[in-house]
Amino acid sequence: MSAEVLVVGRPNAGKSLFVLNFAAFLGLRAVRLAASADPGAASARWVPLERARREWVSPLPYSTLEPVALRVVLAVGGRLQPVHVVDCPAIDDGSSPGEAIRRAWAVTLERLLTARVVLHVLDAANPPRPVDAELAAFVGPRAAYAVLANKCDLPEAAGAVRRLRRQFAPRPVLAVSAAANRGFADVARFLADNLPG
Amino acid sequence: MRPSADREPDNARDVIRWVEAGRLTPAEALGRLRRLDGRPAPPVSVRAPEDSGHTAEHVWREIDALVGLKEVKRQIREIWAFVEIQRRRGAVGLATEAQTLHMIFRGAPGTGKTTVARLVGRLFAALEVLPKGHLVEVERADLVGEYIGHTAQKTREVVRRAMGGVMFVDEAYSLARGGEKDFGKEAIDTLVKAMEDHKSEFLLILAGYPREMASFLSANPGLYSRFPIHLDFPDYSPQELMLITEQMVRQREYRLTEEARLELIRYWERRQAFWPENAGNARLVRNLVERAVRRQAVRLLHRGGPISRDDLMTLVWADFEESR
Repeated sequence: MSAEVLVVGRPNAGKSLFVLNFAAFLGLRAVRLAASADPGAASARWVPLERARREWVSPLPYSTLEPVALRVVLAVGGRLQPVHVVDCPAIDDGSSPGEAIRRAWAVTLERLLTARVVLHVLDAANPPRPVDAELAAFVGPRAAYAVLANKCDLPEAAGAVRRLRRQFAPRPVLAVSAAANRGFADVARFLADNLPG
Repeated sequence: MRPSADREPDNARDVIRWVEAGRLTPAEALGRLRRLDGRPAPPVSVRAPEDSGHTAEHVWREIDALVGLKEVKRQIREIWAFVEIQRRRGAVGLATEAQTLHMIFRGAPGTGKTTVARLVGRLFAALEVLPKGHLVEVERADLVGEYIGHTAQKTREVVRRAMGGVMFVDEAYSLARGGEKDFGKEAIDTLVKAMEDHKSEFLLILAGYPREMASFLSANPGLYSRFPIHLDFPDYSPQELMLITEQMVRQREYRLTEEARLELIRYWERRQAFWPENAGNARLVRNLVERAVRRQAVRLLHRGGPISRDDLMTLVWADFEESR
């Protein structure tokens, strides 16, 4: 069973773009999009990365309603290891969204119960919300957990990383930009240090 | 949303079922799950949006820590007090004053205008006068285009980026350099329209040298009434430049020798005598300190031998001396 890394966060934090571009950074050229979370399923088909970006990544929130796992290969403890990076549906503070979104929330929460490694993507250009704090408080002690302060290339995000480090201490906060492909090496290092094996 | 008859969920599965059923928000569910783990609430790391006083205090500490700028600080405190009282009046249902808070900053380069603009943005965000309070810094070239209509487009794009925060236009008087082919006027008109259409959604600060800003405003009388707040940024005195130097050295976790300190005071005083127009420019401090840091590095490695923690931290006069 490959090790799993969950990628969670609020809507429009940039999870899907991060997962795709991070996978590309690790050498992935095409992705296998499966209808379910299992990339090994027979229904999976190979899709070039550029098309995956167009189909997956959307400015509309909740375009990911089911977890989507990408299989990448990472150097852990001197060995190359397959890892499933799972783009999870967003969770949010919210009042009365539809049933589909509530189910998506439930699915992500369920995954969090058994997660060993979690990356929490935040849009650094906007202040964190209570649900972000609750995520950190619940997951932090249970799993290897890091905050990815995303969109750090935007001027609105200047100074945000420092603030986020204070707010989320003692959890690590990594500055990334999924769009500009920045910070990926730090994330890879965090995963290499924290993945089992 | 909370049902009265059923038991509270006492296991993780039920908590999640309640989320799906719409009885718990994800934040509430995560809180429950955490308590089921037996963990206490963390010392507050993220403030709820209503609690803004806490951050306003942080911003005030930074404002107070700025060297000099006594009059600017006083004026900002006055604006802040006005805004805060209007907010409380609104909270208890009293009529509030409409607030135009756009500003003119008058001063030479390096006198703290951009720094204060940034802090004002954060302060207003903490007071919820602005949704985000970020700073977008532009100058003429960012607003003015090459043909009719281009300027309006460029300017509107910048305003869009600044929405929710502060738009800081440096050397604003250059928008009125003039002549018929000059599109600066188009930029000004677009800004004025944006101020009308997006009242209290962004803050506009026009900045520049005092004399030029005065001419600019008298040539555009319609503008004057839209900018009720005028802040003057005097040149820094040699003593203030010395304080800024010390602040910057401390912030980078270095220290000055006594000799360096004494010589630096004399350096700033000499500078004012030789070059009064640029003397009050705090950007010179950054250049000076950064150069000293580099020269220290060269000095230490060139000297060879072991380098102590004290060596690593100390800047001597020789590290500054050549920067004239």
